[in-house]
Amino acid sequence: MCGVMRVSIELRGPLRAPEGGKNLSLELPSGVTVQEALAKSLKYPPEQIRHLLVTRDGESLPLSRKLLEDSRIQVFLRLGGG
Amino acid sequence: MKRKIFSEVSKGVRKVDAVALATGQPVYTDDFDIPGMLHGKILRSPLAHARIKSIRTTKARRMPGVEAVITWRDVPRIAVTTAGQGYPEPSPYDKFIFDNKVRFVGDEVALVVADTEEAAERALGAIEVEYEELEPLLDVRKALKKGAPVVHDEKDCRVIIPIPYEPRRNLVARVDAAIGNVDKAYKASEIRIDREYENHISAHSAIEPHCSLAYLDPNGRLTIVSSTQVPYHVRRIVARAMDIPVKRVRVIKPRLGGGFGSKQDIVLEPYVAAATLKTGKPVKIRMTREEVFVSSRTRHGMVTNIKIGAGRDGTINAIDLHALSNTGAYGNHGLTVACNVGMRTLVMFACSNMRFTSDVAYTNLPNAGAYRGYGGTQGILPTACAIDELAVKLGMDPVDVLLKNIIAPGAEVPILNELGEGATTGAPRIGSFELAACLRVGSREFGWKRKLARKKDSGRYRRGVGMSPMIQGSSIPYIDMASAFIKMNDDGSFNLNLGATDIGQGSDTVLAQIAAETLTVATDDIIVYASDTDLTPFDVGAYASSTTYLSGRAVKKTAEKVKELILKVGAEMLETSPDRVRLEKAKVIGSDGASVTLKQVGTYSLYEKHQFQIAACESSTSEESPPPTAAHFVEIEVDTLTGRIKVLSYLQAVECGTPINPALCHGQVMGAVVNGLSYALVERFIFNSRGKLLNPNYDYFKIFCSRDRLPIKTIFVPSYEETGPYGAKSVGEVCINGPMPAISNAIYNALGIRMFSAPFTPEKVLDAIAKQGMK
Repeated sequence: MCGVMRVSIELRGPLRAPEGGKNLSLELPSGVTVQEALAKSLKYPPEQIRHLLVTRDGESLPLSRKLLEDSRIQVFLRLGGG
Repeated sequence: MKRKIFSEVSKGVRKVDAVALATGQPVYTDDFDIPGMLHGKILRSPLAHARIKSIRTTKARRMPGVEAVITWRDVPRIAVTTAGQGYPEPSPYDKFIFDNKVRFVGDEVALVVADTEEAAERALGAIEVEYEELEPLLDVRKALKKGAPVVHDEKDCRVIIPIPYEPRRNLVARVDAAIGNVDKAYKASEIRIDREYENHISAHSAIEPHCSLAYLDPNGRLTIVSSTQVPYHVRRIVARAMDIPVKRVRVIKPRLGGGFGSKQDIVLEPYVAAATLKTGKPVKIRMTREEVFVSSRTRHGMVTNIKIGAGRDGTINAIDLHALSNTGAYGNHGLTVACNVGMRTLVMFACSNMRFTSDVAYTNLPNAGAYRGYGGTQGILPTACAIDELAVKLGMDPVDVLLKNIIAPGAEVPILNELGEGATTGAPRIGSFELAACLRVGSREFGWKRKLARKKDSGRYRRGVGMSPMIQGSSIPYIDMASAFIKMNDDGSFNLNLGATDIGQGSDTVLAQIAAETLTVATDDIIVYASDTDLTPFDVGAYASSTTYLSGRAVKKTAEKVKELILKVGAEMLETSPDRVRLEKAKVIGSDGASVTLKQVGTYSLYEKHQFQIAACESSTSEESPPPTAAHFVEIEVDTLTGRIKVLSYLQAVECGTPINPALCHGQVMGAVVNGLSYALVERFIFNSRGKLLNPNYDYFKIFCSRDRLPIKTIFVPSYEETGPYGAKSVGEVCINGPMPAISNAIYNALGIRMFSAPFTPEKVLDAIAKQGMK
């Protein structure tokens, strides 16, 4: 399909998708950014997910990075308390 | 390790507020008296779980002295979290200032505002409330089961970060973090431990009860003066709750008589805000001691399950830790306390198969929140006791089991990525970590091996020894931030404006010492003003053991910027270039030996030439949370006739990087150990079958205090944290974690009986002896 690509997202730690589950496989518009992919998959406004660390193959990805077809990204929640 | 020499750091400098406190100056929130001030009293629910069918306030409003009565109909219905955490908060937005449902005995129902406290108190009785009582949920083990009463059935509670939250099932949060293959490794282990432990709910016992007051300044801005650990979070959350802009709110924290986490929540502030906005007048509310017990915050009670698998040589192959956490009626701090259970336990082990899971559940019990140790206290009980049990099975010294299995300084800790703290590419790495040194030094100084090998006592009095390791953190990486502002005066002194929050631990003094060290002046030349959201820069506040480490980094960074400016001005005065001068003992000294004093520099910069204010404001975040560590050793004597446990000796070996103020450092660890022993041996909430707390006073809720004269010895083990200000880490929380597991292990050593839940009161000890028999 023109203009659509598949992205795999693995949620780590306490993160969960709204429908449940930790592994998502999504069809998204080509050229979507990391932040857009997360906002769509996690259904939260982009400004509320700034504490996420997103990696691909051990490399940290900025939220503005455009994803490529068949991207497999891992998402960690930076958390802490005291 | 090469010893570093400091001039102000590492000195037991007198606290900057010592004289004011010791001479009884009016410096606490309750000392504030404003002409025309009104007083508020809160009507609290007598029921653990009920809907408010109707609430009639006419009679109360007509009573003498009453200016207003506020209920859920009079305030905006806006969900907030009361957790004092950075935005976006990881706690659910499940609290309304007043609601038409109550969720624990002591929950807020209405607020009376009157000209005196007595008038307000009298009017409380005139408010007519019709409740529809609902079945209360009082047992966290039943909370997640089908058919359990639903504590939060409202449609408008939610979380704002993508984590599991199922209020209709009473589920506040779920944590699931693992590395390796725990099940396979555990099954393959030659020695397997599988136990359940329980931590009880308890109270903070800060000397100063919660107190807040609010007033409108001449420009109509809402000013709140409050006994709070988190003034900036108060500002944000109160603004949200009252539906007013943040810029219309100012929060000031005066001196505090302790917090220990109970004031890391927004407790009274929205109520004084609502009262002042309604009446236009200053309003003060102060909690009675009973209200503090019932309606402030408690420690999270938890049921923990631990499995440890090991080889016959003592190598741990698998650790599986689960915590069922009781967050009470509201979910503030629920997720993060639970995460800390894993972070302050599994992180210390060099084991490649580890798992931490947790379910956090609502009940209709008092609202849990932040409490010193913050999950570390709950997690170390099963962990240290399981290690002890493993050691007994192996015929090994538990100290040796630990030394065989703990991480080394500089180690990578992959489980931290899964738990969330400092998550980074690859794996977060621990910097300084001297737990091994604490174990060795503590063991030696306590005479541990000799006492452990001692022949068991028979007869009425039986001695036993036990130990526990512990770690904590220093700030929350990537999330929290601290700032400082320093300006120079014409006499060579400096104003240090801090967002950081001194809650009695002495952070104003410690941070002044850091500034003084950098600027080469005496601490006395640093004038501290702190915790005023209008006048001091942002700081998240006093929690997560962050003040010395994170706020200290901000202070050092700011002082270094000021130092650069001083050198620039001094160089101009000495007619040389800045790279040819240095700052030493409050003088700018040129390479030829000529010098000017800081007084001369200050006067020159403000009055004489090229005038400008020498000043800087800098901020700091962190990328790690360097753990302070400790090893605790205790010798007890059990009276098998009465069940009473007597502490014969207690030794703590602590490493926290550089102690910026050794006297205050010592005070922190001593207070933490006394608190931990009190929690382990005597503190106990007693509820009736309908969820009402029966002992909300110190007649029947026992705590240790200074007259108990516990025999505690402290040794600071040297370490230096490269990322900390002058090598410092934190020290405020870590030592509260040790006493409970150490005592539990000592009971086993004395009697051959494992006790899985505290407090280890005489009744419980006798009960355990009766059921299990002594060995």
